[in-house]
Amino acid sequence: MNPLNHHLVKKPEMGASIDELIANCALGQLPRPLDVLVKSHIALKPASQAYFHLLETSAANEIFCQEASGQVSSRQGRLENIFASKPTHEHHVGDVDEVFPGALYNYVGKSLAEIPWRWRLPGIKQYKIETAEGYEASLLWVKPGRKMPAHTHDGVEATLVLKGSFGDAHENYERGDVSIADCDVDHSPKAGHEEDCICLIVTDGPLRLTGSLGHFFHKIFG
Amino acid sequence: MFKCKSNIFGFAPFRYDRSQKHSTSALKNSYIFLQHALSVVSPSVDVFKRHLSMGVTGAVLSKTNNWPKLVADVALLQDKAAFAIIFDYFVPRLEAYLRRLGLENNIAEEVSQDTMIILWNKANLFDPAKSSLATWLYRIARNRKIDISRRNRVDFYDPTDGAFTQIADSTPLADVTMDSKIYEDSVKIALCVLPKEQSSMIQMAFYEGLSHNDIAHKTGLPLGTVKSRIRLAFTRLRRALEQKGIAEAG
Repeated sequence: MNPLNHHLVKKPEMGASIDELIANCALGQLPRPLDVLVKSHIALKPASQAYFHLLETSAANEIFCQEASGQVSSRQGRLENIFASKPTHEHHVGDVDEVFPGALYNYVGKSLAEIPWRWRLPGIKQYKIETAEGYEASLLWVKPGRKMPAHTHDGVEATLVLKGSFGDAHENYERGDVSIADCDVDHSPKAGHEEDCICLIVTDGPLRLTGSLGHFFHKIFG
Repeated sequence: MFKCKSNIFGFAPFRYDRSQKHSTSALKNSYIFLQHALSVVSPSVDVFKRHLSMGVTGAVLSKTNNWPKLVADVALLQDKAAFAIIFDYFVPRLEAYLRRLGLENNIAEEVSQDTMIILWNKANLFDPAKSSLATWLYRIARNRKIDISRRNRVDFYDPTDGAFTQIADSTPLADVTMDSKIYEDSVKIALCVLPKEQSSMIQMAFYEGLSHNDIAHKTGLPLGTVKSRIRLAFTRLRRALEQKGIAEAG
């Protein structure tokens, strides 16, 4: 591990709540797949965005209220370097996709229509985005009313609903909602009946779909 | 123990003593806001006084600098003197923070220099109605820090996920008419009314950036206890903010 990252990326713990993940995101401490998930959630939920903004603001105040200690070395040279710098190309991120928030679109590099889905189980398609910093990020497409696939994982699993909904007897998750589960939770909810359900799933370790035919498919496609 | 400092980028110092004359509306706003916030969360005036005595009046470091004006001068006039004032204030503090996080000197300097380069070239993107200069620079620095920490990795790196993207992507709050100065203090104020057990967890996990393990080590509490307390603390913090109506932008 790059020693530089020791204090930069704090591994979120099992069972962390979304409120804690948002705080870690405000500090820039999340591994990239979770960082994107939280930023996408924030983009879809104004109340979370406001909370995030308050935390950023408070963190900034804390830093910049401190008394300055010591002088900046080679101040003049650094200023000259800045004054000589040229503006770089600016990337505009708009609402290019009505399902993917900007942060997610940027991350995936594709719009929803361009995703090369792979059938994994009957009624379930998956697109693996990447594995990075110990986390795997996938998009999952589930047919209306289909039971969500069970998946095995060792640690945190966060699911952001992008389209449609899913739910169990206790809770219903809609666009922008995040469900956080750990390995102790036996959760096998169903996609809503009204439309296809599309989710971003981030797992601590590889996502293994284990529906009734899961092992069979896993052998073929895994 | 955290301190409930007032915002330095707009507030002048204020005191609880109402007989004092406050010359700016920001003073009045901050006072009214504090009174309101504390009375909603905890109606007791004693609590209010106690928290003020804990340091809500806080340090004020910005008596002369009008940061939005300086940034506007940089954006419109390429005013080097205005820029140097911002540089001299923010750079030492930013680098001290980055070093506290454990960054090497040269990396801390790279992050802050990049942040200042963005300020010089993109000052026109700063909108004082949406955030304070401190928050804006913090956000840029945080994103540069993330990018630089990932630079040498073999796994995914997206050059389009730079600070500019983040700036452009930081959608304004639904309620931009809310006085942005009021935003500055609300987390600290909410913390003042949380039980100490929870506020100290947030002090360590958030303001000091300690990991769960670090906190367990520092406090001598079992890791499981630390985790559940932190989890509860952030939930309570958010609830306290939302009860005040501060975090409900839409």
